[in-house]
Amino acid sequence: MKKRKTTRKKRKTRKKNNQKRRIPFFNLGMVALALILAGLILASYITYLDTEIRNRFNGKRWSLPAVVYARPLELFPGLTFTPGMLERELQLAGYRKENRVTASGGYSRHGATFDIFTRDFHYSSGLEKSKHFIVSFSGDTIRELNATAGSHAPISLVRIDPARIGSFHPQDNEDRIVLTRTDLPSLLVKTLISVEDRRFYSHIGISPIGILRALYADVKAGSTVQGGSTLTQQLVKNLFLTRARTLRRKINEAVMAILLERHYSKNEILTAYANEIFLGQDGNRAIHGFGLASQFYFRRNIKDLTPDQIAILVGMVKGPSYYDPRRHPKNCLRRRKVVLDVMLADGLINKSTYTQAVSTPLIQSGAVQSGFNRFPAFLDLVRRRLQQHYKEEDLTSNGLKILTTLDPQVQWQVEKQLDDGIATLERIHHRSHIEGAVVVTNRENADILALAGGREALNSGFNRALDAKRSMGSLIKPAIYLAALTHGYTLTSPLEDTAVSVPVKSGHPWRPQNFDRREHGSVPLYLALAHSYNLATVHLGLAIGLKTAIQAARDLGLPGTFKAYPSFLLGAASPSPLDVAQMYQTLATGGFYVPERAIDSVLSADNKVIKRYGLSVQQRFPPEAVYLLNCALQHVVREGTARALSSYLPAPYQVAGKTGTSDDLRDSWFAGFTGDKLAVVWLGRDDNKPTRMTGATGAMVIWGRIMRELHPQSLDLIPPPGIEWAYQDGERLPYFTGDLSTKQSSESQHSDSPEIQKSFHDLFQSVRNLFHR
Amino acid sequence: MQTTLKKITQLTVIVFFSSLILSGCAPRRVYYPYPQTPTRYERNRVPTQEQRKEEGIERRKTGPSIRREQEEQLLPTQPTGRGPAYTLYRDAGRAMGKGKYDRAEMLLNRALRIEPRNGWYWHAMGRAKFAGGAYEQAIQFCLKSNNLAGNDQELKRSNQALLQRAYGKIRSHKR
Repeated sequence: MKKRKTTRKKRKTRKKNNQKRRIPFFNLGMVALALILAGLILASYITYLDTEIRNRFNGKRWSLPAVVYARPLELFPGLTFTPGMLERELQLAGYRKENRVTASGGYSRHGATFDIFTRDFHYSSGLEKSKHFIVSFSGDTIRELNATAGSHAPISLVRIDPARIGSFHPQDNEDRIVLTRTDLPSLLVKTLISVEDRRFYSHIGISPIGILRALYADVKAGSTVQGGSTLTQQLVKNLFLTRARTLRRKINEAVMAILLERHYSKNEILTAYANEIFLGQDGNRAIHGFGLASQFYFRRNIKDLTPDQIAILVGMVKGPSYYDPRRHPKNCLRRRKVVLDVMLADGLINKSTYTQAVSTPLIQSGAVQSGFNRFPAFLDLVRRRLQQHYKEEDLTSNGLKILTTLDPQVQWQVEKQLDDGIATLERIHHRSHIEGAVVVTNRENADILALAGGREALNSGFNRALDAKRSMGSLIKPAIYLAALTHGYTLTSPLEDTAVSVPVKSGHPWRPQNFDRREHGSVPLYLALAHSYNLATVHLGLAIGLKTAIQAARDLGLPGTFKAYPSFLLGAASPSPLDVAQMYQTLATGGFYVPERAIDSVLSADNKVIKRYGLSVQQRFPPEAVYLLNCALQHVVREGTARALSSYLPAPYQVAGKTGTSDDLRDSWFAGFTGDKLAVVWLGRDDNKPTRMTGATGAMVIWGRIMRELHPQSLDLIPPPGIEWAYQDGERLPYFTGDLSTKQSSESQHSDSPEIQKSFHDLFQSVRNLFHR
Repeated sequence: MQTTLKKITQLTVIVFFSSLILSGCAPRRVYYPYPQTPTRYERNRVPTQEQRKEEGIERRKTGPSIRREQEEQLLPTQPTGRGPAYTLYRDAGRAMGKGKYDRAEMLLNRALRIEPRNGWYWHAMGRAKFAGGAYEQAIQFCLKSNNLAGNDQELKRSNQALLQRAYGKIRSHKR
């Protein structure tokens, strides 16, 4: 028995010892291995977070959208410009209206006198420093400009820095004005740190003490007065733009905050924070950073912010929507007081500043006409032109500055008249869904001043000015007539406006007709154009040759390839309104091809000129021929298809233009120019159904309404050398020298005008009569 | 006697009114105002002393300083009066004198936005192009300037002279 007990005991001990030997889990080596593995996993994860946060930080730091500007407004004594126009322009450019102007970016108005303090601006020619001056109006004209300083010296020419009209931003629709560390006002930085992260300069990215302190302050105040997250943590949260507030996300943010602090300095983090922090929403544009927020909410440069405005912006960090001064002014004022209390307690402001700031009312900036993509059709054109030279990431990330040719005054008129005009025409013609497109350019230098891609100006959808390819109808005719004038025809060459049958390869012969379905027999060339006779045009085009006619259209600047079909002569080609504008531009300049420009120059983020779109000209037609054609186009308006234009621009304006109507009245066109501007208008339906409007009853009406509001100059065509005048059927018409046969009276272009000659003739007759009584 | 007196009086009246008509018929100087809106700016304005200072127009100098000034300004003084963009035209001339043709072009570009039908500015652009070696464009700008010259014979002569130089340069380059 004893032997069995001993054996059992030994077995138990042996078993126990064996068990001790057979449990490796608690072996030190395994534990160490496990710890190493866990460490490796953790290290990999931290490395992954490290890479993520650095990529995100660097990516955001250098992601600056390209900013687009309108043309600068040039002011000088004698300029026709109303006070209302000037005020509207200043507001678009984000100028503050004040009682007393003391800082750049402000203006005041007392009746017909403006006090303006412009902002520094980098043009392609270099930095132009801000100027402070007075503008005095007399009616609708600027009477004088005077400096405010010193002896109020008169100023002959000054320009206001251009309005920001949009930016090309990445797909997440963010916008910002990027600031450097030195751009940040000291008071703003100190307030931010006092309110959001007191231990910013001493913590490592997270601050447990800060969390506890914030909790204590909140409990003491009975409300949330301080945030527990550090600025670094908030920056991480903003960089990832996520609303998920899970524990895992919070831990990740904390780790990434620590990692961020290891790689970047406090100043870099602070600057990135100041540029990244989300501070509100403007439609579909997210406002990021104090730079843009100060412009958006207060129309101020960040360095011009007052203490109460700084308090509002810092207060909004906690809740941009909840403390939005536009939507929740009471919340905003409450929060502002909280921040001002902190500023006073920390000695950032003195008592009197505090009292003044607390009592400052919340000034509503009103319905801010945000310049952000305010003119989407024009911006679309700018973007397409830039994409010929720049990649998408260059446009959205490198902070380029694009100076354009857009004239907001012209653009506003175009938008208003197009919308109102179409509404009226729809009522008159009992139609609906009429759309339109307008292009307005400077007559001589081909700057694109305005562009409308549709009736709704703010709609950034289908851009009809650039993409609507519609039959141009009779707008092609000037090209054919110009070709004829360069091949021996004169304005009075007889054309046969009689039935014509043109054999075509497939199907029945082509038998065009006039609009009135009549034949007019033999007509002088200029009248055939004035009345837009189709039959005469076809006869003319076939006589000079289709290839010649097509070449003339191409030389005028009409892009595209055209098949040599007779239907080309009546406008079968389908260019966009912008293409048509380029064609008529060459006529308006007197035969010089001047490429239309929407961009003046492109500057880098540090204001160096990267590209300048300079002026270039190329004479493509003899000036005499173009002069004759332009005279004929004046006849179109004087007595031809566009004669109703006189109700908008009377005869003294001597407008040159051409109406165009496509088959079944599907497209209504008008292209024309005054002394200073050229414009093309198209009307039609997107579904291509008839509009019931001709060029004269549709597009021309819109054209007239627009041009009437733009203070047009009269079109005084200058006859080039080689032009002589003669009377033909009571009409005084120009001819090439040498083309004139013996006429009743002919005048050289170097002598005085016939009216003065007649006066002298009469005068000498009366002198003769005196001595023969 | 009475008849003679009557005739003399009538002749005097005719001569007086003729002179009025003739002065109105003097070759019209062509002004090309602001592109967007008609203007009524001053013609042939004589600057006051403050304006001279503001525009940087210095008092008449003599000797080497005149020559230096003339060398600095390589654009002819516009005989057609001074429009609102004249200061830009003058600054462009100075820029050309210093060999800064790009800057001259930028200034003239701006001047042409303000006065797009001023033939002298187109001519000046032609000069800037010529100075920068763009002879083909210099020719085109002169042709454009001629197109706007009207009866301005001095402008036409200036264009003709520049055209000849530009054609000469092109011919010599082709050899």
